Amino acid sequence: MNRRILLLVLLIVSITVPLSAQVIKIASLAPRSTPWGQGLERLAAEWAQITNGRVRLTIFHGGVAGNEEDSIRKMRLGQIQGAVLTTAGLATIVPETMGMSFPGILESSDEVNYILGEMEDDLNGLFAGYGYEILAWSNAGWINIFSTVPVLEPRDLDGVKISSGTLPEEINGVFRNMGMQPVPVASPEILSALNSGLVEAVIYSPLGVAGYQWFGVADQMLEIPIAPFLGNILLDSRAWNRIPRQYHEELKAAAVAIGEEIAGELSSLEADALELMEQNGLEVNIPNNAQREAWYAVFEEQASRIESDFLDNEFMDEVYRKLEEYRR
Amino acid sequence: MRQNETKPATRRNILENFESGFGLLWYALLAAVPVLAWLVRLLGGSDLPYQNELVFHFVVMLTALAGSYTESHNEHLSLSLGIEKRDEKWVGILVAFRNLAGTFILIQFILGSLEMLLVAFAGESVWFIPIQAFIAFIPIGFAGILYHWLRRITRTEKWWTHLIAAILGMIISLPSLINITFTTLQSIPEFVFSLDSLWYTLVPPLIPFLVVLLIAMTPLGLPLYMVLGGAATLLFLRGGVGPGIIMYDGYTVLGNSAIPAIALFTLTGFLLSEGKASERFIEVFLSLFGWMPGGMVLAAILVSAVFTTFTGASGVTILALGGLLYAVLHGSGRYSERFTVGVLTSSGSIGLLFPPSLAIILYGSVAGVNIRHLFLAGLIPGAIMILSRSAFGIGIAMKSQKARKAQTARKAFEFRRFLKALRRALSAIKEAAWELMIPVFTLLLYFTGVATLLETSAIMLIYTLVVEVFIKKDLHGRKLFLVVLKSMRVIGGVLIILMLAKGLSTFIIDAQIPQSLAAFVQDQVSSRIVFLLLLNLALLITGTLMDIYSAIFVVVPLIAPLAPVFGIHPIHMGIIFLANLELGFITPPVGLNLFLSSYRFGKGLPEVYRSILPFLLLQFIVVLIITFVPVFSLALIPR
Repeated sequence: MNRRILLLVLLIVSITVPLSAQVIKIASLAPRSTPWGQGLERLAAEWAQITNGRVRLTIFHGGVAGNEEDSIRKMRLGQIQGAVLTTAGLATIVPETMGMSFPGILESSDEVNYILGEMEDDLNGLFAGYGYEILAWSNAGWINIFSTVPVLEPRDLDGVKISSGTLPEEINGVFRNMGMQPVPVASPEILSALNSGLVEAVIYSPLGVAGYQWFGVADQMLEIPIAPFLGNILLDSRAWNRIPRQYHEELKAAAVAIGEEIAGELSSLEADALELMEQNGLEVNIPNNAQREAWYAVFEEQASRIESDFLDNEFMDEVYRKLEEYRR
Repeated sequence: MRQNETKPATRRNILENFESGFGLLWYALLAAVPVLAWLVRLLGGSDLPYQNELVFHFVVMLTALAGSYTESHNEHLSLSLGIEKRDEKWVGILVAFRNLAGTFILIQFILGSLEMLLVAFAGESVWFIPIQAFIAFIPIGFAGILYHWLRRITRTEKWWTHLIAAILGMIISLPSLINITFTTLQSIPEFVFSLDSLWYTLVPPLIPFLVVLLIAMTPLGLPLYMVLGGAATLLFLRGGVGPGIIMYDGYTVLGNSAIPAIALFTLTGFLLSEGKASERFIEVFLSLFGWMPGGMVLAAILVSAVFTTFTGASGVTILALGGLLYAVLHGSGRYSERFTVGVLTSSGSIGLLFPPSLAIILYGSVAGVNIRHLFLAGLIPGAIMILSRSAFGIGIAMKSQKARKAQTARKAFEFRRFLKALRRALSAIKEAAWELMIPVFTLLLYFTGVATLLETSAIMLIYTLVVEVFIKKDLHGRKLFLVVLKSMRVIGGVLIILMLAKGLSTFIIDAQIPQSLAAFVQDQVSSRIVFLLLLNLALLITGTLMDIYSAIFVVVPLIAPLAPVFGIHPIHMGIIFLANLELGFITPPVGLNLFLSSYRFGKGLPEVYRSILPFLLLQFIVVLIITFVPVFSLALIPR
């Protein structure tokens, strides 16, 4: 009922606004020159073609519209109609996204892709309940530990000062439980903080570490990826429903195709970034099997602590069940 | 500062007590939480969950209440030319019109902040407190401002004219009302539909006209935050987006990690400059640098530069050090007021190019150039800026000294005189030893990695309080209270302007103006020199309209790819960019540092404009040199 009224409002608005095209503004944190930036520009071109210019995408690249939380709030306020989000932002809408990105739950990119495929409908339903239309899911990469001292096993992190200004509080809680000492420093200040010794480690995506040039100081990377982050393109349902229904299927297909292209390019870009960093002095520490197992034991212990707190346990049980099937 | 047309109420009313009381509480928490967290960490403990979020929201609540408290004293910044003080009938009509415009804008700010409160936030919480509990202070603050605004002006005007202005404001902001209604009631009454379509045919064409009217009210003394925020509000309404977005962007500005440090350093600065500490500093500066013509100016410029390098170029230097350095330069009796204001205002951003400047780091990561090389490249241009300004200051000082003949002709060096001077300097240093440790501790805490910037600012505030209240016993009881309140009014005025100026940045981004400009340049310009001149001009305007972080995020990705097209080294481009922004901060009429300076020194903006002029010219020449002589930027970079 409510939605119908809203539709009516929007219908009236769309009749009275003398605009030939519907402009959809999408915020993205990735700079224009990255695969995400280029992919979104391609998406804009394809959507214009599919709808004969009736839907025009305007992309705000490089975080000019703010961080992920800002993008979500600006969607609610109506300044923008869509965003490219990762776990950090998605979890503020649907906390279960955080559950899936937690250390120790999904352990490889194949698992991420499989679970995303299996759970997609459930997830999309959850987001639709809050008024968002998901266009395409993707695996947006992994975060790693970069530190000034070599870290090979969980014990090495005892008392290590880690920057906590960039991650959700749930993740900071994990650091605390693992014996690290989080120091609240925002990402632009991390380089100075690493230099002065205020922080000794960051947990971040390799691409981000390359971009911020932290690897000059935090030149030790643990090879084990800590946690995946999921990414997607989503639109405010109000904007999506204003697009004539006949185009919906084709538009979504275009978004899914581009999402896959981006994921492919990203992983090669990440490999390039790692190679470049290694040429510039980054050391990648590869743990032995015992150490590796110690990591997963710690992760799983942390994961079991968090699940009951703020997640829908039935949803997570489903994820675990699917995972077990897959691992067998 | 805006002069009062009517006397402010001398009696403090309940609202003012609420504003100042709660403002003080948030201020105290803002200082206490980082210090406690720091102590716990020193002892090896863990950090406080949600610390950043908590501090951020203390700032939000402080800003809202302090902004309203500032209005109660009629101390918000405006660009008044003094016309409104004339005693003629037509002036009275214009002033009445200005006051109605204020009500019209304020009601939209209130609606916008309610829209933000009710629509933008969902189930987020800080610790166990719903985030809305903090945000709610913003509409409360704006309602307080409207109350003070009306209380002051309705003595001469009919109350119903303001009611009409308020209703008009609500009608203009209909998109906000609809957003709020839909979110709270989950349904919309029938008549809204027809209203809505009427609104869309009537209002958007009116907007340009309203914006012009609003700007026309500026010289009549309409507070600047209303002009900046009001213009942004109207421009967004043209596209059917309500003022909630302006308020939300303002809120995010307060989340910048440098803002709480600004608030804390400002209070520290006030404690030092309002107590007797300033006299002790004058003596130290006089005895150490007074013998050399312009020596005190040189020292002041260097102190400003060092402070700016690690606090960022947000103008915090003027707020934190301005009062003290003003007392030292002008109070020594050697420099005119105008010269002092000019030199301190222009030095507010002078350390931008030196390590560990955040601006350089951000530029490096956004443009993808080597940050270490950028720092190396900044050394010579940064030194040129400092040297040129110091030379200028020394020149002025020598000229005025000659004119005053204060110092008799220099006598030959005499050992006994030197000893006497040395003794004087030592005793001055001893007197001011506690306060002189403030810069030492600040630098030590920050650069050894013992504390974050915020923690450093909070520790130093508490240290200064202890020194001035318990050791030097300069400030106590009522005087201390008054100093804190005064600093709160400055903080309120400054942060409200920062908040509402962001809306214009957002509009510029939303309308994709920088993109169109960059496209135009790429298509139309082929000469390198024309490109560089256009770049200077565009960046100068950017610097006056946008804060430095927005400018880096928005403009750098657009101009960085243009650099190779015109054969400009990417590192040189970074230095050009930052040097130009620095110039933009002191360019009238809206350069941010001018506002801060007007606040800190209690001078009207026109007066600040006059005092900055020679420095502006000088800086402009330096920027041109940096732009057109790349070797200064590139000499130190390894090939």
